[in-house]
Amino acid sequence: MSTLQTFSGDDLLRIIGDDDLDTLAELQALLGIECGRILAEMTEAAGAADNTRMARAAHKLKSVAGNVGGHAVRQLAMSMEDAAKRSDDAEVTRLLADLGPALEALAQAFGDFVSVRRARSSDGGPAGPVQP
Amino acid sequence: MTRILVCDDDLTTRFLLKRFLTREIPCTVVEADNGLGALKAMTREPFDLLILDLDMPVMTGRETLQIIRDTAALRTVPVVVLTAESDEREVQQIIRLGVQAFLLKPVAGDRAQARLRDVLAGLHGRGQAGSVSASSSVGPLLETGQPLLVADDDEDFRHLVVSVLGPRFTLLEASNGIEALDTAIGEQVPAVLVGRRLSLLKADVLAAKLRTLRGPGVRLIAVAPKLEIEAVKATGLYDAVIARTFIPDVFEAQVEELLRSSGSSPLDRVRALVPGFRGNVITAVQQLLGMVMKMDAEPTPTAPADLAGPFYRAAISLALDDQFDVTLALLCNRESANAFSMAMTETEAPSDALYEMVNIVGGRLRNAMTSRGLAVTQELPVVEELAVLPSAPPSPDDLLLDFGVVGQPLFLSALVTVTSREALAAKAS
Repeated sequence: MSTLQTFSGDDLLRIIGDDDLDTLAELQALLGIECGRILAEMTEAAGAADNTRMARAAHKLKSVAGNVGGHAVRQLAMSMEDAAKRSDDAEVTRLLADLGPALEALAQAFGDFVSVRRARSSDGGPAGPVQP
Repeated sequence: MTRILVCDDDLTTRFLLKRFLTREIPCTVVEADNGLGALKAMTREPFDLLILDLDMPVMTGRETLQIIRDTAALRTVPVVVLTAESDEREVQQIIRLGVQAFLLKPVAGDRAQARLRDVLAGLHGRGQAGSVSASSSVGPLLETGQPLLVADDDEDFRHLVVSVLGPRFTLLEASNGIEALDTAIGEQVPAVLVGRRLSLLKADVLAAKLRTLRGPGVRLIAVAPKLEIEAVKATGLYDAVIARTFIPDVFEAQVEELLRSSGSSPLDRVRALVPGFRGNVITAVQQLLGMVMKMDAEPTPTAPADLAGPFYRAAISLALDDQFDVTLALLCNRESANAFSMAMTETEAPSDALYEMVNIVGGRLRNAMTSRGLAVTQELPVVEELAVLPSAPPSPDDLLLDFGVVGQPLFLSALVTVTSREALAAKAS
């Protein structure tokens, strides 16, 4: 399992702005949909032993996780893409097992991040960067 | 209002880009989830910019870009590629097709954001600012303290450069060609050491791309194995070429030489613009004297002390890129002038001979400059007769070359002075 930080909201805030809770919430929903779709695609690719399809799905997950500051998932996705391109089936299986919990951790961290910012916003507190 | 088309099959990328773009400039963002959708949108309505992913279903980014470049109505649309793709061949093909910028995901990364801001600033201010190459001033080749990007795949070599040059420059590193391109553009670094061992984007492709995007404003110094130096020089892509070595002292000596030869005087700046400038003057004069006198001319350390006048001075001025006035003057005593005149059968007076000679040498210099892509205008030569040899020594910023004709008591002096128009304007005001 990667030791990278699960999630960092700083980069994200630079794009969407500190004060846009609605956008954050919308992105949280999109992230859930995209990650769920990609994980399903990966599971099917693994079942079909289709490493080309697995590499493409991992490539996509790398992009999605990178976009939202999900460093640990991004690193796992990069490793998965490499392993699939090498047709290293054992490594693909191992990484796929790690991905599920990593995605859950990312979703949890993102949700906490949104909650904290929402709470601060309702308290009228400062809108500085928050690390869950 | 600016219209931007974002083409990416990843929903989160489109979502974030739309948010980012609309925060940066007043714009309308239209989304497409593959290349086919983008082309459909582009045929329906005009766009000022396309931001394009590469790895997409139905129609990839490369296929889309190829069609855009092959379609007269679409080919001028600026395209920014934003991708996680780093396959070397794919990247080279994309860059050859012509893109405004090639950015690596994630969107949230500082570099991608900075480059997008640059592109948007260009879009928003289009028509107001000049091109990069026209507006950038040409500085010296290297200046102590400035940022210097080291682009080389070999970590050991980068480490050597950092350890040797760290005290002199603000060093940045890139471990492949794409990273180098991204950093050089994103950070607007003034100088890049380009190693020959570059992956993803080969050294010469990187150099050509940087030259296209940043004009002479970026200094490119190739670091090549000794056996490849001449071939690298012949590409004409680099401002200087130094030898790749792992011996710290040897490497440092080469950089010191570059620093010495690239001070900030106008002459140094011209020499940085026209590598081999001094050699060009020497060769042109030697060839001329060889042609005229059928004898070898060699540079001499100083003019003979017992020269008798009167003296003839022929000068020609070249205006270089609207930035510098370069004056080349040939000077000799009457005995030499008469000899030149006799040798040039179609001329009779010494002044006519000198006129032709300075015209020929000036033409060679002009060719050396225009072959570097510089704009040069040349004025007619002016010849004057002087009673005495000018006693004032030339400025240290001028280039003075004395020549003797081997086996003959003949002497010719070539003096190059360079004036920055910027400095002239400041003086006038």
